Amino acid sequence: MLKFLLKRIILLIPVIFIISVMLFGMFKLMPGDPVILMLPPDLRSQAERDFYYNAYREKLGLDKSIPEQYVAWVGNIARLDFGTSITNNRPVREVIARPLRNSIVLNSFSIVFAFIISIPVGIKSAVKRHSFFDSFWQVFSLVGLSIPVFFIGLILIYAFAIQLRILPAGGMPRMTDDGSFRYFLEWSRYIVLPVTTLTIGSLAGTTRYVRNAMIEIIGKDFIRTARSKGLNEKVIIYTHAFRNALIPVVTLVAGSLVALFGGSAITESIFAWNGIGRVLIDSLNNRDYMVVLTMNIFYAVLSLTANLIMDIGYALVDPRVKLN
Amino acid sequence: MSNSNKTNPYLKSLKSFGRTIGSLFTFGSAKTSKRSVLEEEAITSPGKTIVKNFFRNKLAITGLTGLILMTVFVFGGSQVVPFNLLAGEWAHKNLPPSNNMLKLPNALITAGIDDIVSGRSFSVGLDKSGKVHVWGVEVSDVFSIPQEVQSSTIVKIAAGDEHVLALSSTGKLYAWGNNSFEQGSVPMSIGNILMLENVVDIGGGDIYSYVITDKGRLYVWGGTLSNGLDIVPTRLQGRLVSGGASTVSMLLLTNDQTVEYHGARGTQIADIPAYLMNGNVKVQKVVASIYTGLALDTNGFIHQWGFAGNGMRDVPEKVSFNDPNRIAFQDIRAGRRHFVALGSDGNVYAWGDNEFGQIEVPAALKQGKTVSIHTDFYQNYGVLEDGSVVTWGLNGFILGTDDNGKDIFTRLIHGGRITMTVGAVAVLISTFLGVLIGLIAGFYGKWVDNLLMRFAEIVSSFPFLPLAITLSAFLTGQLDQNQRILMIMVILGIISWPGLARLVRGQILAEREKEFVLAARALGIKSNKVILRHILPNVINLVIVSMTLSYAGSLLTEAGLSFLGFGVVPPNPSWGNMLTGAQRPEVIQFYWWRWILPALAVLFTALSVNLVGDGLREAMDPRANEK
Repeated sequence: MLKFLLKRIILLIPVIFIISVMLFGMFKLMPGDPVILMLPPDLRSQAERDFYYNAYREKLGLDKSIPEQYVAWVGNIARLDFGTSITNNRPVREVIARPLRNSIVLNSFSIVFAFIISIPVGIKSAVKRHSFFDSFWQVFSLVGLSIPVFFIGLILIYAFAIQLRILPAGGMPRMTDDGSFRYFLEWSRYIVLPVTTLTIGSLAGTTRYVRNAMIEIIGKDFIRTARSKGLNEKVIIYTHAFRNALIPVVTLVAGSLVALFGGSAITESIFAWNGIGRVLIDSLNNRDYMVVLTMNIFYAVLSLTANLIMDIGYALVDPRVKLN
Repeated sequence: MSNSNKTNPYLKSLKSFGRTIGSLFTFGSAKTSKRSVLEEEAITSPGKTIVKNFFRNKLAITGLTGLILMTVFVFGGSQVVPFNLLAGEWAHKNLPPSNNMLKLPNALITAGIDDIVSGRSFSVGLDKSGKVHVWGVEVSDVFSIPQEVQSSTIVKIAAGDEHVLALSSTGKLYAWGNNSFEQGSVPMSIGNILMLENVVDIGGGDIYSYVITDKGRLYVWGGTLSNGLDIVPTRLQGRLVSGGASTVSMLLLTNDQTVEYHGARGTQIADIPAYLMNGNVKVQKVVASIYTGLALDTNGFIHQWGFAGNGMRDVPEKVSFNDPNRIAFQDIRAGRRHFVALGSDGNVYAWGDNEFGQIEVPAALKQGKTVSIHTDFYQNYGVLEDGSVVTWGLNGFILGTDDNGKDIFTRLIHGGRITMTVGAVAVLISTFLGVLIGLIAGFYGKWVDNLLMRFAEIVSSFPFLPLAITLSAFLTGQLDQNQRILMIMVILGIISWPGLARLVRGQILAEREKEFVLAARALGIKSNKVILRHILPNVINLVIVSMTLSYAGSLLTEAGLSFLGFGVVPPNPSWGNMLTGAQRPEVIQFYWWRWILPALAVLFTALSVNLVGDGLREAMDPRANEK
C-alpha cells in the first residue's frame, strides 16, 4: 500500500511539471503587457514613465529570462504566494478565497442531494426494471442529460422568482455576514435555486450510473447463488449487490470532488452567485491572467489528487484490487 | 514490386474494415434475400440483429425521427432562409411572435379607408367616417384608444415608433402610446399654443411628435434632447405648411414650395439639392426615410437625395427624374428604408431595401387601378378603385425578435446550423484522437501505454468547462468570426478524447488476450494488420455508441460555452449565444420567446441524439436482449 502510494506520488511529479510548464508557456504567449496596466495615470514625462515602467517590471520579475521567471513562479507557488490580481491589486489568494468557499458550499449541497436521491432511486430502478418507477426515472434522467443547465436555471427563475415571487432571482444576501441565524436564513433563500439547478443537472447522470452498476451486479452469478440459498431479497440487494455496486460509485464520488471546487460557471453566472466559476469568467474578461493561471494549476493538482484518492478508494471497497 | 507488396495489405485491411462497418448497416442484401425462411432464421449477421433491435425500440425510433426533423429544419432551412449577418432593425427589437401586422379590420375596409399610418409593429387606420382602428402587434398600450378619440370625428392621424397622434374635426389634438419622452401626450405648453393656432399638419418621428399650425409654425416635443428638434430656427417659423419625419430629423415644406431641413447635423439627408431649396423647382410634398429624402414637385416628378446604400437610390425606370420616359406621380410615401410612389397611371412603384419584401409590389397594384397608397416603417397598404386593400411588406416575425431586432426564426435555423456543426466536428476530432490513442496504448502496452495514459490523465485532470473557457479565451483572441468557430471545434475536440481513449484501450486490452489474436499472430500477420482488421472491428460498436452520446454532450457544451460568451460570439448566431442576453429577469418575464425557443431547440436535439445513442447501445449489447 505504502509502496503503491509512493510510486503514484512520484509519477505525479512529472505530470504536474508538464502541466505547469504548459500553463506558464500559454500564459507567457498571451498578448498584452501587464506592466502598462499598472502604471500610475498621472505621469508627466517619458523619463518618469520609463522609471516607473522599469520599476514595476523589476518588481514583477519580468526583466528576467522566461526560464528564470518560471522557476521564480514555481518557487512562489510552493510558498503559497500566487501573485497579484491586476484588476483590484490584491493577492490572488485573497481574490479567490471567498468565492471558492461559496462554490464549495453550493456544490457540496447539490452533490449531497444528488447522491441522497440518486442512490436509492438507482437501486430501486435496477431492482424493479421495466416497472413504471423505472421507466419514469429513465425518461427523467434522459431529459436531465439533454437539458442545458441554463434552461433549468431560467425555468426555476421564471417559476419561483418571477411568477411565485417566493425566492430571489439571484445574487447574494445584501446584509453583512455577521454569523447570526438571521443571516443564515436570508442566505439560505439565495442558495435554494442554484442548488436545485445543480442537483437536477447532476441527478440524471448519477441515477443512470447507479442503476447501470446495480443491473450489472444483479446479473452476476453470486446473486443467483444467494437467491437460490433462499436469502431475503432485501439482504441480497443491500448486502450482496449494493456493496459491489459501490465500486463504480466510488469513481463518481471522486469525480464529484473535482466538481466541488471546479465551480459551475453557468449556474453561478445565471444566479449571480459569487463563486469560483464567475471569478474565472471575470478574470478572463478582464485579462487578469494571474488569477486564471492560479486557478488552473489548482484544478490540475486537485484532480490529480482526486485520481489518487479514487485508486485508494477502489482498494478499500474492493479487496480484489491489488495496488501495484 | 516490393512497393505494391507493402501497400496491398494495408489496402486489404482497410477494405475489410470498410466491409465490417458496411455490414453493420445493411438490411437483407441480395444474397440473403434468396435464402429460405428457415435459413434466414438460423443465420443472422450481427449487423442485421443490431438494425432489427434498433428499429424495434420505439424510443430509439422517436429519437431518430426527432434528429432527422431537426437536421432537416436546420440544414434544409438554412438553404432556404437566407442569412444576413448584419440584418436587424432596432425598431423591431423584442417583438413577440406574430403574423398579423398587415391584417386590417374588416370594419375599416367596409367604412372606406381615409389614411393608414404605422408604428414599428402596428398600424392605425382612419376610416371615412372619422373612426380610428388599430391592428398589428401591440406595444406601449397603443391599442388603448382614448375614449374621447372614439367619440369624436378624427380628420388626421400620425404615428411614431410606439405612439399615435390624432386630430379631431374640432381641432383638438390627442396622443397615446409610449410616453417616456412625453411624445405620447399633448404637453401643457403645446396645448396652450393650440388654443390660439389651428393645426394643419401632425406627425410622429421615432420618439418625437410635431404639429404645424396655420400660422406656419412648427412645434416639436418628445425625445428631442439628442437632435434639438424642439428648437426651431426663426428663419423657418411662420413659413411652414407640412413636414416629413425621419428618425432624428425632419424635412419641411414651406409656403413658397421649397424644402427645408431641420434636425440633427451631419446626416446625408440634410444635403437637399439647391434647386429644391431656392424655388427653381416647386415642391408639393416631401417625405423622409432614415437617411434619404424624396420630394414630389408640382409637375408630379420625383426628386431624391441622401444616403445611397441598400438600394435606396436605385430608382426604377419611369420614376427617376433623369429618365426621358418619366411619368408624373400622384403621391409618394416613405417607409423606414424604402420609398413607394403612386404614378398618375394608377400603378405603384417601390424601391429601396428589400429585407422584408417591402418593395415587392403585388401585381394587383400594377393594373392601373390603385387610388391610394399608405406606407410606413415596413408595412404597405394599397387601396384599389373597388375599395379593396392589397398589402405587402412585413407581416410579422413568426417567432419574434431579439433585442437587436433580429428575427428569432432565422437565427434559430442558422444558429442551429452552427451549433450542430460545431458539435459534430468536435466529436469527430475527439473520436479520431480517442480511437487512435486508445488503440496504440492498448495494443503496444508497456511504456507507450504508460506515456499515453499519463497524457490522457493530464488532459482530463482539468475540470471540463473551466478548461474550455480558458482555452477559448486564450486561443481565440485575434481570430475572425469563422476562424473562431473552427477553433472552438478544435478546442472541444482536443479536450474531450481521454474518456473514449480509456474505453478503447480497456476494450483492446481485453481483446488482445483472446485466442483469435494469438492465432493471427501465430500465423505471422503484422501487428498493424492485426489491429486494423482483427481488433478494431470488435471495438467499433463501442465507438459508435460513444460518438452518438458524446455528440449530445458536445451540443450542450457548445451551447453552454456560447451562453457564457466564450464560444460562438454575435453577430454569428448559435443556440447558446441566443440566450446570452436572456439572463435578466425582465427578459425572462416579458420576452419568453427569446429564451424558451433556443433552449428548447438544444433540449430537443440533445434528447433525440441521446435516445438514438441509448437505442444503439441497447441494440448492440447482447446482454440487453436477455431479459
